[in-house]
Amino acid sequence: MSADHDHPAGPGDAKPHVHGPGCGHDHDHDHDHAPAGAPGLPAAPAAPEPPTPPDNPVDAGAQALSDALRSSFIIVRVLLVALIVYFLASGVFTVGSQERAIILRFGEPVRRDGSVELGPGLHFAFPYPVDEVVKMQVDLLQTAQSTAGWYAVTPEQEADNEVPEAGPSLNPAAEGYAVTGDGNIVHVRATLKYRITEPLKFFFSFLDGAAVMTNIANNAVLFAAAQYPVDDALRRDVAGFRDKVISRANALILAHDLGVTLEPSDVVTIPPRQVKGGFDAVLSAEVERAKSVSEAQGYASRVVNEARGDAAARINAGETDRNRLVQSVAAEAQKFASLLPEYQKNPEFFRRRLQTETLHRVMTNATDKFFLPLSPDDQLRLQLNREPPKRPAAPTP
Amino acid sequence: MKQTNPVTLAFGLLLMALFLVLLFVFQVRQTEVAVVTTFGKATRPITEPGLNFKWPWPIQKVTKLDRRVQNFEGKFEETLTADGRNLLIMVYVGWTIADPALFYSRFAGGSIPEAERTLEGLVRSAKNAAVGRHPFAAFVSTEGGGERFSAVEQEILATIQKDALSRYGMEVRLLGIKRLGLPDSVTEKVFDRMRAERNKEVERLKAEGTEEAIKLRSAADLERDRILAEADAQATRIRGEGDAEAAKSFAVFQQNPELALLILKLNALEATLGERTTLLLDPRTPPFDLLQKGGVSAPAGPEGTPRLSGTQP
Repeated sequence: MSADHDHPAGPGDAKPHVHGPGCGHDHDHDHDHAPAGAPGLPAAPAAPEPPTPPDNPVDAGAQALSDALRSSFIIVRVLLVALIVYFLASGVFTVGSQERAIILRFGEPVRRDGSVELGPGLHFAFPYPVDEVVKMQVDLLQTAQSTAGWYAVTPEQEADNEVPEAGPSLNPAAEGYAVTGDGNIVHVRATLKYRITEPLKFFFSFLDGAAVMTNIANNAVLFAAAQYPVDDALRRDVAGFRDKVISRANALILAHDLGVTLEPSDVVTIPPRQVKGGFDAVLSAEVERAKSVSEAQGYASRVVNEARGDAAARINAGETDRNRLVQSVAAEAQKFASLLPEYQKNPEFFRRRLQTETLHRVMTNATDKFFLPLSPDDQLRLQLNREPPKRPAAPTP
Repeated sequence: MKQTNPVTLAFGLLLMALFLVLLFVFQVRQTEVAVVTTFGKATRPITEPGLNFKWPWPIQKVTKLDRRVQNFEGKFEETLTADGRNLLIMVYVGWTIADPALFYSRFAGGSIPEAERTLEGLVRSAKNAAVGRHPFAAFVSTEGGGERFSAVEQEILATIQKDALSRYGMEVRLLGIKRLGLPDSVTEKVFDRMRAERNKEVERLKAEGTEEAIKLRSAADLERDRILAEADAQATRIRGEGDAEAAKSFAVFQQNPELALLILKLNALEATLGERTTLLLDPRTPPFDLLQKGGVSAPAGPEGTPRLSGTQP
């Protein structure tokens, strides 16, 4: 198009005539005059003097500009429409699964179906400045750790599980601790885990709800410690102590109307570093006691078991004695019964026979035998070895 | 120009209207309260969210303030209890702007730091007063379930609430003890006492362990003695049964007591004189009487003297 106009426009010295007004026209009423101006231009170059190169670019430039502008205006229009569409569509928003949203219409929460909170899904709000969408994270597990009851420790020491050097006393400005019900000092740390269940309360009623939770943790720790004797808090009733901390925290959350729900939380209690040795000694004394008691129990069971065994043995011995007696008597009786007929035939002879037989057996067994004749002076002198050696005796009957 | 004019005009008018509306209207969000000032003087407080009207600048101006609960902490300071003990207490406070107009005029332009400075004074005096009315045991005691602890907190809160609201337009919503401590020098004494208590505890445990062990051992010994005594008794009874049973068999001997006695005697004799016995016999005992009467008594002579036999080895 511009190439087409180049030649006829070239000779025309339209410099003062066309350029000024044409330019102005182009700018002001681009759409209306563009078609009208075009035929006007070819009509103008009636004048001679073809070689005027500077004029050509001017005219062509104006034309190009007008064209460019025209096309850019179309683009702008399209863009504008797109923008309006985008603007209206921008009111559509999604709420993630762990989010809740609240629409503020002119600053005031919009209530839908009795609730101001919008759950996960696709929602619509008017664009600014009518509506404002506020999204809030909920259901995430959050943590609030108490700070009031623990000794001063740097994060690096904490990470290394290192315990800082202890002075003779605790400087209350630097070191945290809790005073127990019996006036002792312990270190307590509560780590409260919670979920935001009512985000409207938590985010819209509190500037810094997390800081309130930390304060609650601190208060709960001090509150519980102030009622517990040191031994209960440290060892005897650790679970009860924890429950006390948590129930206090729950009560405060309710009282402050914070809109959160506590999850199972931890409470750690330790003795102060300054007296740790004493507590350790108590622990080892307890171990010692348990040891001596279990030793005693071992002794007791051993003794009783041995006694039971012994008792069984003694009873068995009694049993054996009985049996032996009964058996032997029975045997004697048997023997008697068998000897009786013989005896009755000639008692005197039988008696002597038995006696002699017995003596025979006895004499054979005896190591030393002495026959003592009746001495006239009725005296008997004996000099005997304590343990007469066994040796074959010379005299045999 | 003729076709577009009405649309453009309408558009322009709309924009103009919007601009004007924006000049006259302002939003207060849910989290805010606002004060409208007319020529610098607080004239209208707004405590509810929504759209509100105002005259444009420079006639009226709007100052928006946060209506959410703000946290504030007092200083950790020593306070005397009613029974004259030093206690360090720090409280935390949650407060909101309840009367924006009053708040705005009391603290230049609704300055929060200035408000906190005032609050600090209120907290300190209320805290000192309340602590001074209660003994040390109100804070720290194994009895009472913490009711007195909470009561002191409530007392401090009530004192602050009254002043803060009527004089400064601040509502103190919540208050709690955040830190509780003893003076530095006292902690040292507490540690001494704790150490002494621990030592006592160690001694007690030792004594307890010994005592329990002794109890267990002696109970076991007792039990052993009882078991053995019972066993002995039973054994004796069993033997008695045996005797009784044997006695039945003895009935047979009744047929001829003389023979029975003889057998028993001989048995006894045999049982008594076992191996390695030394016998001293009267030569008249049969069958050795044989050695005496006949002329064969020659070897009996030397053998008969015990002295010789005794000294022989």
